[in-house]
Amino acid sequence: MTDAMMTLDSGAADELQIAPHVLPQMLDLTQAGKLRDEMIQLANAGDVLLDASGVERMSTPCVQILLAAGRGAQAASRSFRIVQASELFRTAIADLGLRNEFENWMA
Amino acid sequence: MPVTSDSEAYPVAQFRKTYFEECAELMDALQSNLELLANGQEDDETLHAIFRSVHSVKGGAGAFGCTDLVAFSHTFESLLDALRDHKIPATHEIKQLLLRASDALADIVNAARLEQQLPPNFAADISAAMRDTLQGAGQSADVSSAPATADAKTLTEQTYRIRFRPHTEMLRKANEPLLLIRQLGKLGSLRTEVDSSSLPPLDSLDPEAAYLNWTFTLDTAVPRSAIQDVFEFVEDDCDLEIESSEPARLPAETATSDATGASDTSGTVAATVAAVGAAQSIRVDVDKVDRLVNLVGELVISQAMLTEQGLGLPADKYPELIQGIEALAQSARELQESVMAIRAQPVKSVFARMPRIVRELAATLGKEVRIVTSGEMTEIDKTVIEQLNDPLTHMIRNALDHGIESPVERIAAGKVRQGTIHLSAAQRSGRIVIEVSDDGRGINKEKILAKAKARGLVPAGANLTDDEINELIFLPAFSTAEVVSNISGRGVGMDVVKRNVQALGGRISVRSRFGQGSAFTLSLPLTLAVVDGMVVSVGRETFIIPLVAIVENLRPQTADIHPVVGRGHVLALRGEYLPLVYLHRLFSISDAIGDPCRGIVIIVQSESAGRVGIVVDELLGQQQVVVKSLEANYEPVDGISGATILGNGRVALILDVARLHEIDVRGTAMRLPPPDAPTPTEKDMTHAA
Repeated sequence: MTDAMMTLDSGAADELQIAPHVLPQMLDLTQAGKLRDEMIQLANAGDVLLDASGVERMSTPCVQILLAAGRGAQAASRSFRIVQASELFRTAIADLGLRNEFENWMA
Repeated sequence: MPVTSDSEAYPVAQFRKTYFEECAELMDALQSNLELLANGQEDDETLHAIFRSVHSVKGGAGAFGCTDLVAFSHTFESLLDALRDHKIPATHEIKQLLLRASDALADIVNAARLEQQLPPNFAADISAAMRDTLQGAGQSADVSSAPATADAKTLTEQTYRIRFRPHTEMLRKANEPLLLIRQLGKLGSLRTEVDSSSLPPLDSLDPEAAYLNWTFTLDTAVPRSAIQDVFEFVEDDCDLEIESSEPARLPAETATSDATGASDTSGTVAATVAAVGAAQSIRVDVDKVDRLVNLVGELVISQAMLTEQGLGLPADKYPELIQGIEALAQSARELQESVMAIRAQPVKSVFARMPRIVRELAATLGKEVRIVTSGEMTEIDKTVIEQLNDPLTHMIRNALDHGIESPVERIAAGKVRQGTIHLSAAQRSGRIVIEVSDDGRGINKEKILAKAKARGLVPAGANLTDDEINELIFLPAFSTAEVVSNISGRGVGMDVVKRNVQALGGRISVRSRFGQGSAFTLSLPLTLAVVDGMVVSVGRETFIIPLVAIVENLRPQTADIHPVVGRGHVLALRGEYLPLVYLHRLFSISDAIGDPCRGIVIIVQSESAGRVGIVVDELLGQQQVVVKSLEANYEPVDGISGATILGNGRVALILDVARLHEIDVRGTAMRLPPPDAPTPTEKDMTHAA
């Protein structure tokens, strides 16, 4: 686990000057539809700041949505940040082989 | 997107039902592979397939609290694990033990399915024997959940490249790649590369679809099968390729020359798991398919009626309507073929049950018998398959009880101790032919004839041919078993088989050579639902002759018809003499054309009767007809295999061409449904196929 991934970048929220959207505790298959709708709403509103501190269950469908959300924001030159990611969140990202890409957003 | 939990969408009862349906398939696969093993196929693939079946049965059993099932399959699985790791040799005794364990497992699964209680200590002897075998080989009855055991580590480590491409629907079925990847990580050192190039933008992303693919590099000492096992439950929902490349050298081997590594690399084996390219399948309730088949049958009848009506219309006035009717006929036919294809299944599902029957009966009777099967993948309609089990079981029992001799008798007769029963299936001229043959004592024709005469079934002075004597065993209440055993010989034998087979539109015949064995041949229609037929008229009656049986049609010259004393007429055709069967005589139809030179002769061929000419008045055309059972709607009529409803709403009878000649030779006229009898109405027949 790199330091970059573990960084709780308290400055990020200040920098973005928006309240972080808190990700739910369970990000399993049943939550995927809801998460996608939320991400679309957030993306339409502008920069995205996500608080992943309380995530206790992760799933591939939800990771795919976060990945698409991050790429969408990048393409639109908007900010996309994930802060305070829980250990479980980071492990899931790493296990799925997506650490490199997510590091950009979690740093 | 509505969010429903799995527990709401699929209640436990539904999962349980699905589990036991899968169990039936797993048990069939287990049985087939154990038979292969017993016959000497001891390769790793077979051993792994056997292990996987038991492993999967056990896996689901735990979820439904089937503790007996879990306990037994656990010991069974341990033994199989030791066997596939070559810690235990596949000796004859071990193979026999595995077969007994498989039989016991089938009973335990069945009891769990029916929620029945098995007797205390059921199969305890088999469990004990399996544990003893394991202990004798220094194994415990415990399969480690992590296959990378200490023993495995002594094997050379290998590097595997695993390409895992989930199908789009995999995630929706609650299969989670994360869990698979973590399981894979437990097998050794894992490196993961993800391909996310298929991921669409957020607004067009289906939240439950799978878009990511992975390539893993795994350094491990476990066999390939352990990697396959990780993906076992998603086999049908993904593409999986596992390649082994150069062995990752163990620390002790690192010092060896590079040449070793190079030569190992050249031995790269690329193998693709069965899951690769596997057709996607869904599980459908049989009732739904049957409903579909019935509806399509109704549709075909309606279409035939429309076509009939259309024939009366002037084509120049209603060209589009006529075209529409033709297009409908084409589509209806394609639809029907597609639906029938859904119902076709390999006979394997019935054949797979027979080895157990042979094993158990052979043990009871003190005989040594092996069963050899062939043509198991021959496909046949599901309704036929379902009704095949009883006749086939009866024939196998008969072969074991009456056919195969005891080892002592066999040796005395100069034969090998072990008898053989061959069970085969093949498609021949639009029918399925199933043969049960044995190398036993054969039919004692003298004894049969003597018994038939004693019972008054045959007149004392009658002179019967060999075939006619063989046919006697199909007479009701005819048994020549010297000792009435609890296996067969209860006098309710082959006549019941014959009746069952006839009810299916089939025929049964027997060939036998005394001292050398017997062969029973069943000939069944591939489907009971539709037949391509030639519609013919005889007087005011209309008959259907199945097209598969027709060789040619002709109007003969008077000079070609020759009388044969006591046997009617024969037709001279290109140097061959074919017996003629007059339908109007056979079915007592009064207003028919009696002279074949004014009517039409249809040459038909069947495996039992050879080529025969059927004399009819006129050919009315070809048509695909939906077969309705005459037995279910009226009563069986010899020489008639079923009935159908024609486009004009009239009922037409479908001829059993192979029987016609036999009936004709016997010289008895058949009774058609009399005009005043409660003939099956269209309504009756439409709903009682």
